[in-house]
Amino acid sequence: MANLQVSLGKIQFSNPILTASGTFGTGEEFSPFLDLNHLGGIVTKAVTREPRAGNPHPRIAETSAGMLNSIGLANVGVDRFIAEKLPFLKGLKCRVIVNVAGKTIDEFAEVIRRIESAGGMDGYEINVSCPNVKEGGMAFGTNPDVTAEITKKARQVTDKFLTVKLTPNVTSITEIAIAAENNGADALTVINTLVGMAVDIRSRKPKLATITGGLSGPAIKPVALAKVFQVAGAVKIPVIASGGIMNVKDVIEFLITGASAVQIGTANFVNPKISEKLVDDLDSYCEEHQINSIEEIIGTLKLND
Amino acid sequence: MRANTDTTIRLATGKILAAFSVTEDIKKIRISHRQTAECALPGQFINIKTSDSLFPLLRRPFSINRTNPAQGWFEILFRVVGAGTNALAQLKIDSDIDFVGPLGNSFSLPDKSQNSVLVAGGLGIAPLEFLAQKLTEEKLSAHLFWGNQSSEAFSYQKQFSRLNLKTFFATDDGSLGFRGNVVTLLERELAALKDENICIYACGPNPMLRALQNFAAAKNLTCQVSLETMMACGFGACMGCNVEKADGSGYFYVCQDGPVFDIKEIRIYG
Repeated sequence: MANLQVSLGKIQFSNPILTASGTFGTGEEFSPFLDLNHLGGIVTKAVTREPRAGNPHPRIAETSAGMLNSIGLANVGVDRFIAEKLPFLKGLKCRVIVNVAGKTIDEFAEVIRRIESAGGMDGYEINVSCPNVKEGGMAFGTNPDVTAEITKKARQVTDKFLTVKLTPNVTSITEIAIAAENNGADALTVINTLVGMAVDIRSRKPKLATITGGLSGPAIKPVALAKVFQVAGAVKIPVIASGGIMNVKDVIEFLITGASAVQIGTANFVNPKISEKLVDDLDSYCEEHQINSIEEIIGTLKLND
Repeated sequence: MRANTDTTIRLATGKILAAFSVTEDIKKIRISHRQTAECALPGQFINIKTSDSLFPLLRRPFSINRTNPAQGWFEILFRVVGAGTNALAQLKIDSDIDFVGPLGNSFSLPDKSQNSVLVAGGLGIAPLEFLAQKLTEEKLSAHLFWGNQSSEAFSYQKQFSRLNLKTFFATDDGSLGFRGNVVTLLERELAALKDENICIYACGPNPMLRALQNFAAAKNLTCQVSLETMMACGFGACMGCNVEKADGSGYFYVCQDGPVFDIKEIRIYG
C-alpha cells in the first residue's frame, strides 16, 4: 500500500480522490454502489439559503465526449440540508466539503454560519462559478473584487477549510485565483463547467431550456489541465483539479500538473463506482511505479528551459 | 404508484442471451441477470452503458419490458434512434451488458374490482407489456389500446398471445385498426363499455399523454402514466430529469419520484 494521503494546508485527505459538487448528491445516493469512507472526500451538491426548484426541463443534453447541464442549483435550502442531510454526512469517516452558493454576496457566509452553528462540516467550497443561474453564480466568479468580498466574508464566519471554485469563463483565471488567495481561501477548485450550447436541428430549438448550460466531461479535460497549470503557477495555496477525469491516467496528469487533489464529476454518472475504483487504481499505479507517497508526484511537470 | 423502497439497486453486468428485430428499427434484447429478473417491478427501468467509448458517454434508460424469473432473464424493447440505441443494437449475443437497476418506482396494481385499461403510443408498449404480464400472473384481464403510425409495428402483437389482453389497435394512416389517434379510439370504446370502474395505465409520446390527461380529467378516471426523458445517472444525483408538478410548486424527478406518476400530478407539454 502506497501512502495516498495528501495535505491541503490545514486539512488532510486520506487520498486525493474527491467527488465534484453537483454530481454526487449528498453522497447517500451513491451508498448502494460504493463505500463512501474509502474516498478522500465528497463535495456536496450546492446549498443555498433558500430552497431552489432549479431550471425548467430540459436540463441536460449529451455532447461529444461530454454533457451540458443547466440544473440551476436545485436544492432543499440550508435549513432542510441541516435537518435532513447533515446527520448522514456527520456519520461519514471521509472528509465532507459543503458546496455553498448564493444570490447575494452575504448569502454565502450566512449559509456557512448556519451550518457551523449546527456543528459544521470539514470545509466549504465557495461556488462563484455556476453558469446556470441569473443572479450570483458565475457573475460573481468573473469579478475579482466580488470574489474577494465573498471569500473574505466566508473567512470571517469559519476557520474551517475554504476552497473557492473558479470558473474558466474568464479572460484571466489567475486574477480571480489571486483575489481568493489574498482574502483567506485555503485552496482553489479549478474548474467549474464551461458555458456551452447544443441545438436540435429538427426542431431548431436549443437542447436546453436555458439555451446555454455548463459543459463537463472528458471534452473539457485539456481546458481544465491548462487552467490548473496557470493557477498552480500563480498562487501558493493548493489547487484541487476538476474537469473530465475518467481514469487513473487523468488523475496522474492533474497531479503532475500541480493539483494536490482531484474531483470526479461527470464520470460518476457513467460509472457510479468510479470514484472508489480510482482510489484502488491510484494505489496500484503507485505500487507499479515505486511511488511511496502520492505527494511525490504533485507539481512535477517537466518543462523545457 | 409504488415507491421504490428496494435496496437491490446495483451496478450489474448481464449477458445478452438473444436479440430480435421486430421491424427494421425496433429491437428487443434478452438479458440474463437473475436478481433483476426476480425483483424488477412493472414500470421500473435500467440505465445501460451502451458502449465503452466516450461517445455516447452517458447511459441510456430503458423500461423493463418482460421478465422471466424462473429462467433468470429480462427483456428491453427499443427503437434505434441515435448513437446510444445504435450501439446497443450492434451488441452481439453473449456479450456483456453493463447496467444500473432496477431503478424508479412501479405501477400500482388495480383493485380486484377495477378493470385495467392499458394505453400505449408506439414504443410506450414496452413497460405496459410487463404490467400486462403481472396482471396475467395475477389472473386479471386488461384492455390494451395501442396506437402506432403505421401497421408495421403490429407484427409485435404475436407476443400478446401469452397475455390476458383484449386488444384495440389504431394507426395514423388507417392501415390497421382504427384510423386516428389511440385516445380517440379509447374514448369511443369506453363509451360503449359503459364501465366507470377502470384504472388507466399509459405510456407514449407527450401529445398522446396530454390528450389522455384531458380525457381522464373530464371523465374523472384514475390514470398512471410512465414518463420517458433524458437523464444522466438514473438514481437522483444529476437532477437532470425534472418534470413540472401540476400545482406549479416545483419539480418531480422522473428517476426517483417516477417514472410512474398519477397523471393529475404532472404538467405535460407538447
